[in-house]
Amino acid sequence: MALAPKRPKRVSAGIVTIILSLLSVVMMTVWILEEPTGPLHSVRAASLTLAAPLQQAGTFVGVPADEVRKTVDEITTSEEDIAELRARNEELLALTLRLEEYRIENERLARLLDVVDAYSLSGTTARVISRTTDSWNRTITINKGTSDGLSIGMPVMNADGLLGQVETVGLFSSTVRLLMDQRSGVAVFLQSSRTEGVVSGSSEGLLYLDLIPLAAPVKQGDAVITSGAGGVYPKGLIIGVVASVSHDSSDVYQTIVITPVKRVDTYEEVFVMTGRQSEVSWNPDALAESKKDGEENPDDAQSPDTNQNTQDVLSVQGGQPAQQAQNDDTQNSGGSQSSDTSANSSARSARGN
Amino acid sequence: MINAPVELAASSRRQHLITVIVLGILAFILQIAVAPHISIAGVVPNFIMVAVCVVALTNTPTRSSVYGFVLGFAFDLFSQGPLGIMALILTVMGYTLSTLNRGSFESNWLIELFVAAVAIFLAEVLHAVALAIIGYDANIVHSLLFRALPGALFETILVLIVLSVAKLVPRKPEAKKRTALAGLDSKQAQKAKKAAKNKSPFAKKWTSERKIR
Repeated sequence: MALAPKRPKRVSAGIVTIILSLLSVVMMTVWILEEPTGPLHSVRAASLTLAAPLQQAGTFVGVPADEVRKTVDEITTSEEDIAELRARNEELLALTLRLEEYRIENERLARLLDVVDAYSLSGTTARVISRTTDSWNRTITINKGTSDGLSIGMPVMNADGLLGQVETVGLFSSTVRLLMDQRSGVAVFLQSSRTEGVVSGSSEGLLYLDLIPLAAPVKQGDAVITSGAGGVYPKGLIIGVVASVSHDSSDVYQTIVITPVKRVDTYEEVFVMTGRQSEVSWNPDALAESKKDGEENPDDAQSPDTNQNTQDVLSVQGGQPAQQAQNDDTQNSGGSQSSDTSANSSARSARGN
Repeated sequence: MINAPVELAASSRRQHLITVIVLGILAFILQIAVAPHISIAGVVPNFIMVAVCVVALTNTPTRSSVYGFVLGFAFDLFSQGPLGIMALILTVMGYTLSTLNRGSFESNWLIELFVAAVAIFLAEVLHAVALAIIGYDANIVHSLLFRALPGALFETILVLIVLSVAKLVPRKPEAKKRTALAGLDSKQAQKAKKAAKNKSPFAKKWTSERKIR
């Protein structure tokens, strides 16, 4: 009679599950407590590098899917929408012509004061290789990493405005957390009234402008621009326009929904700002010289508008060292969310979330 | 001669293991490369959860929980949430679903699908609640309405597709294979089946396992 082979002693499934669950909880706790440069964060950054080729390959799959989406959008666009877009297009054309005039005037005044153009930003362009892989985050992956000089916290934009900031950096790729994400927060002001607030994302995929008092004048179509407060994003980058304004009788702040300038899922290239910028930098010697010229030639004295611009420049000068120091603090701590996110959490609590 | 059934069983187990691993790799690739491009209104399908669900319906609780942990960890690595959260959820989901399936509704395809849908929904809700508890997600109601619920629906449809495809694939009847492995003839197998029918689902399972051994 043959003996049955001896079966190895097996560990109970329940015990295995408990051990693995505990391991997961420990990982989660370490992840939450550790710095963004900690070991688990580094493991994620390394895995980002490994996944980059796979994500790049995924873009080939994405092309037909995006085409299908665009076609569906076009089919479902009503005649009213098309008429509205045509009217908006005409308005924008007129606005562009006016802005061109302002741009030329701005250049002339900037030359006079030797002011550097606010948008002479230093950085690198990158290609979007993937979008968020789960429903809970609004992120994109770009094909540039530490090898291209990118680091955590750098602002990312495209031709249409600000998009977000770098959150995880691998060797050849990085993840950018978009403004639409509920963990993002940006200090902004309304272009028309200069009222300051905070733009934050939400789980339903909308952008909210928070902390705007009920008394502040806000109307549909107002442009929303970064204020530079918080030190993460430079001043003057467009985020979107006001889509709707509402409030309840018990509210302290208005509920304002922002429409981004461009749909998040349609862009392919982005610009990562690697250098340090504020709105403007200035040359005090050149300013003194221009003032001297003005005194010597009273006929060529600056108009009241120009004097106002000079005061603006001087006020920027006063604020710049403090902002620079704040930027340094952000960089040293490696925190990508820093003060802008703390603004976001206060904005969310104000919204009652 | 004596070792033939044992070798056959080992070969079958190996084949099954390879299938499970291939399914995991396929789910991972789909999650990284395809899922971001087929999202609907910001809801990205979780192929990894679908794979764990399917494996849990056809495997032992131990294997299912280990599978859930490994795939969940891989998901966490490539998403932007806290590391370990999906590993925890899929470990528990794999174990629970597999234990329930082996105990009671192994043969009924529709019940399998229903229980899988409930498990997916609970996993999504658990995910939303866990994110809210650790302060990652501020508005739990919005998360449930706009993320968990549509996500669960999306994944249930995927499970339905996978199970339908699995049903279409022709394969050797499991009972016949098991009978052959155990060295029983068809009459003995039928007797065992009849006896098992008169007992509870749990007793049925244990009877058939004992016969095989």
